[in-house]
Amino acid sequence: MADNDKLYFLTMREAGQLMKSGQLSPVELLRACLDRIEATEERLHSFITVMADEAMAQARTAEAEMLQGNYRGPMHGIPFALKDLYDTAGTATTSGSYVDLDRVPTVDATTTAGLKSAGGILVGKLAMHEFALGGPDWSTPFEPARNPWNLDHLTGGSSSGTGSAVASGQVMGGLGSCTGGSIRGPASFCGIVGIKPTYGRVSRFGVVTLSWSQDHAGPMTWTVEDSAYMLQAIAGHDPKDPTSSAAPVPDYSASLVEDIKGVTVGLPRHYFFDPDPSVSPEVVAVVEKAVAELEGLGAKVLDVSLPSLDWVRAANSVIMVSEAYAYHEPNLKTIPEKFGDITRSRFRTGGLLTAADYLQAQRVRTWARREFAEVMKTVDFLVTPTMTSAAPAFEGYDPTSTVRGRSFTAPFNVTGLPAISVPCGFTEAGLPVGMQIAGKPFDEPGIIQAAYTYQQHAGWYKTRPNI
Amino acid sequence: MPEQGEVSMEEFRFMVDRAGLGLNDEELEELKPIYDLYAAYAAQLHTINFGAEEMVTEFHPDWPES
Repeated sequence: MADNDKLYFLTMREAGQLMKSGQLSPVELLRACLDRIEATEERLHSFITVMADEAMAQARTAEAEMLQGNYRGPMHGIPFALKDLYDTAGTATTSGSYVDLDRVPTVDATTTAGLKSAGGILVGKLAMHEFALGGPDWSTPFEPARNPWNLDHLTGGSSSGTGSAVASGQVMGGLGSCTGGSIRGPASFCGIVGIKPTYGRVSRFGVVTLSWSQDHAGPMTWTVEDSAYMLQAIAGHDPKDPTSSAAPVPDYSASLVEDIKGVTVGLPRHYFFDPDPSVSPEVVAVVEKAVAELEGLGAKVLDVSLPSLDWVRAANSVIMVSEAYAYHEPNLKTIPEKFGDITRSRFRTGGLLTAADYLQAQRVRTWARREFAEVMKTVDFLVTPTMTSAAPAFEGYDPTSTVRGRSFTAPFNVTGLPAISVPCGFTEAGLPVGMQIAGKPFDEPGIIQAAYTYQQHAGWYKTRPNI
Repeated sequence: MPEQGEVSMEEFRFMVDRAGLGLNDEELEELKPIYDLYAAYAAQLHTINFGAEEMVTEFHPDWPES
């Protein structure tokens, strides 16, 4: 068994096996995470709310259940946390904003309830960019989260606290939300795994919206297998979310198999790999090496063309702020001073775009979905860098950089296709780089298996940040 | 002077008033550069010629084939 002071670096799978066999108590595991939070939070700012007492009560219940031989599965007794836009009954859900600072939901989000029902221990609510938009903003109520690999650098966003909390071992997993890349982005910047499932795979009920037709809920964890376990607990149809799918939910743990022999990987080089001023050549080189490793593992790699990519970023941005404005308009007009500077200006912009702009963006979306559907008939997956760069530094950071240039994640929010980010190396400066693997609709099993195969081969998960 | 395709400050003030945002001069000055970024995206979207294919505005949670 691991030393007590390193319990927080166990994966969910490792911790679950120890708890199932009676070698580890959920109370002991939670204490290790709470101690880790105590030791690092002043530097990381991952949390908005730590729910130590409630979590300890849940851990004691889990301990009693396990002692009675009632082990519920891989999430049982596992400390996790939620981006602070997931509703938690009786606990404030702020969305990182003065607007919702005192908002206390009376009902759990369906995803919150799913993780609790699977036996997970809710440790707290995590930092985020205000209302899931923008960047680190000191005009909002909470200090921006810091990257455990280098505290002078961003975690990415908007699921900023989930990235730092999981990478540093404060919790073993968390939920992020993603409208343009807010799960995969911080996963890539923080050296962890993040899954944006197919649109409709996971309920959005009780998740504060940014852009309801592009919002996705999904897990962020240290390893692929742990993301599979979390996804299992939150996937499925929810009558409270009319956009959730009735497609059956497979057993994701059955995909934790090391085999990608014969799969076909498509590379849209013209957008993701070819030189562009907004793309780091160093990051592309790291991912190219990972693609070669996929080939070495038996994947067949071929170039594909997706001309709509040149317009998809624009569609994602226009749809995002238009839908956000529709949701936030009353507060923007009555209490604008409660919004942070970055969010307020972007949301207001949504009120100035026209219906014709929004509809044209939706037409581009239709075009992109048709085009991606055709290409996905010829390949099993698309593989790309997750982000255009490694985590930028706070010093000199331009918040509008998230609006300018290419986005490698937004195409999969616009099309709704599932995508995972898995760590695939580091820059010379020691910052993590992620590889994105996107699949066919509802082929979460496929992207999990591909990412798991790569992870086990490459072994990047063995390296933890030194904080 | 606005760059080609950008609206003037007077036009921008009219748009903001029409939207009911009620901004003062300082707020207008702050908002306009961000608006220009998004307006450029919107303008880009209008340059596409979809040809004969009907490109309807649709979005379903399930993929068409599923």
